[in-house]
This record gives sequence, C-alpha cells and structure tokens, in this order.
Amino acid sequence: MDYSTEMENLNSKLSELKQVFRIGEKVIPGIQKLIEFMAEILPLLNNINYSIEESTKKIPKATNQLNDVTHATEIATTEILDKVDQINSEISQWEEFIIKYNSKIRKRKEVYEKLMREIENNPTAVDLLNEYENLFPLNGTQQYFKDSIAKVRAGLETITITLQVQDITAQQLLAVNHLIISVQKKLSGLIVDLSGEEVMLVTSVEQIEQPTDVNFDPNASFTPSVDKQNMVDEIMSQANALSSQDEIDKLFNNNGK
Amino acid sequence: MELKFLIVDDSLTMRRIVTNSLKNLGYNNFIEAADGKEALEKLAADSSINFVITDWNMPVLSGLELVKAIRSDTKFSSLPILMVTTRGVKEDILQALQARVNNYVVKPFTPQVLNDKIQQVLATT
Repeated sequence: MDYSTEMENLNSKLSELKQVFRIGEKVIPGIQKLIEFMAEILPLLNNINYSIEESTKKIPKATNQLNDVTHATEIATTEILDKVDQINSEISQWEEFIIKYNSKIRKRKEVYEKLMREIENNPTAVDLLNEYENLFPLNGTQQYFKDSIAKVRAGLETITITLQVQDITAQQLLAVNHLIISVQKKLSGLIVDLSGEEVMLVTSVEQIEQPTDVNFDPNASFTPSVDKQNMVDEIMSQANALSSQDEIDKLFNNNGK
Repeated sequence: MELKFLIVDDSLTMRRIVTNSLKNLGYNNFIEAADGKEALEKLAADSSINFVITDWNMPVLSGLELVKAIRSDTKFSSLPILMVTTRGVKEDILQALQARVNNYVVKPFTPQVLNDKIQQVLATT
C-alpha cells in the first residue's frame, strides 16, 4: 500500500471517528438525563421492592390462616352433626314411645266404651265419664306429637343439607389459597436487590409449602337448586338410552368437548 | 341382600352427612375412606362392600381415578358406584359417565335425592 492510500484510509477513519463524537455530543445529554432520572427513581423502586417483599412475606401467614379457617369450620360442623345425631336418637325414642302409647289408647277406648254401656241408664254417671274423658283428649295429643316430631325431623334434615356448605367453602378456600400461592411465586420473582453494583434476584423470601396432592373444584358453589341435578338426570337418561359403551363414548366425543 | 356402603370423601363433614343420611334412610352398614387410594385398599380387604359412594375432588387419588381403577378390575366391573360431587358442569358429568359411574349426584343434595339415586342404581345393576 502506498503512502497516499494510507493517508486516505486514515482520513476516512478520522471522519468516522468525528461522526461518532458528533453523535456522542448529541447522545450524552440524553444519557445524563437518564442517569438523573434513574437517581430520582431508585428510591421509588426501592420502596416498591420493599412493599412487594413485605407483602410476599405475609402471604404464607394468610394461607395458613385460611387453612385454619377450614379446619375450624370442619370441627364446628362435626360438633353440630353430633348434636343432630343426638336429637335424631331422642326423636326415635319419642316415636317408639308413641307406638307403645297407641296400644294404651286403644285399650282405654275399649274400657271407655264398656263403661258407657254399663252406665248408659245413669245420665249423671255418663256426664261424669265424658267430663273425665275430655280432661285428657289423648287422640289429639298424639297427633300433635307426631306433627311436632315431623317438623323437628324436617328441621334436622335442613340443617344437614345446609352443613354441606362447609365442604363447598373448604374447596373455595383451597382455590383461593392456590391463587395466593401463584401470586406469591410471581411477586417473589419481582423482588430484586438494587443496593449492590449488580442487580440480583432476592431468593430469601419464605416460600409456602404447597401440598402437591390437593384436588379441589374451583367452581364449587352452594346453590341448593334442583337445576344442576335436573341437568345431570337428563344426561344420565340420555346415556342410559344408549346400549353400549362405544355409543356413550361417541356421545362424549360429539358433545362433551 | 344387605347393602354395605363404602363412602369415599376427603371431607369429614361430607362423610358424616352421607352416613347420617344413609342411617335415616334405614341403612346401617358402611365404612369410610378419605381418598381414592384408601378406598381401593378397603375394597381389596373387604369383599362384602357392595356399593360405593364417592366424591370427585380428593387428594392422592381422585374420585374419577378411583372409578377408573375399580372398573379396570374385572372383579369390580359391576360394582355399583354413585358419584357425589360439587362438579356440576356437563363435561364433568360426561367424564364420569365415560369412566362408568352408575349415577351422579350434585352437592348440596337432599337425602331424598340420595335415596332416589341409590334405588335407581340398584334397579339397573
């Protein structure tokens, strides 16, 4: 390469360098502003970081509290069911008593009719016997007890049906817990250490021990209506009308997905 | 023939409610399991079980997996199975049917509905 060519190359490189400096002159104020902006925003980022870290630390406590709620309601529900059992047992004894009482009422009626025949010629004695009989109208009392027992039984049945809400809310709480744990995982990933020279992920946040075998229905709801059961019954009757498992499988492939 | 029920549910409350309902309907012979795996162990250990009432959502082994496991054993191919669950959407019901449950009850249920379904299952098995 001769001297003039080398000079041309050098000149060209210097021109390129000049361009770089010109661009630098334009960019440097922008970078300066960016640095100033970062300096201003850093305390804010630290605050956000701290808030996320604090919130994330509180999540395990929240999930434990939800589990405690489920446990407590299960114990309370079991105690109520124990009481329902006891009352049912008492009612059964009343019913047995009423059945025994029936035979005594029949016997009493027989005695009353015999007595009436014996004293039918004595109007005063008839009046007295009727007055005595009306003091203890046992037939009406028996019916009253039967009606009362039926009402108590119906009430106990309603309580038992309503207590199914415990299982349903337990599943809803499991769904909420699952959601909280997912949020905690995401938040943990956002926490960074801005204090050092390098930006680092913080991994010291306590992780929630998530049971791997939990199975819940996220759509569980306490809606005591016959609509859902009617839909089930309709599908079941359609399936029962089909003669083979292959036909049932075909029905699922057409409608189930 | 006396019915011996295996009631499978991870919820103690639901096991109590089902057994209470059965008692009030005049049935007195039942055993319980808290998940599908325990249910399979009890089925293997007790040949007198002749009716299974199972929940769907359970840890370890779900009700649906339990039904599939039962049906895969030729010994239990005609064992009556009633699914009692909160899952009430069409896809769930079809999945349960495909796994070959005999009938399906949506929670919350009344003892009358439970009895109707037990009778329907018994009439068809």
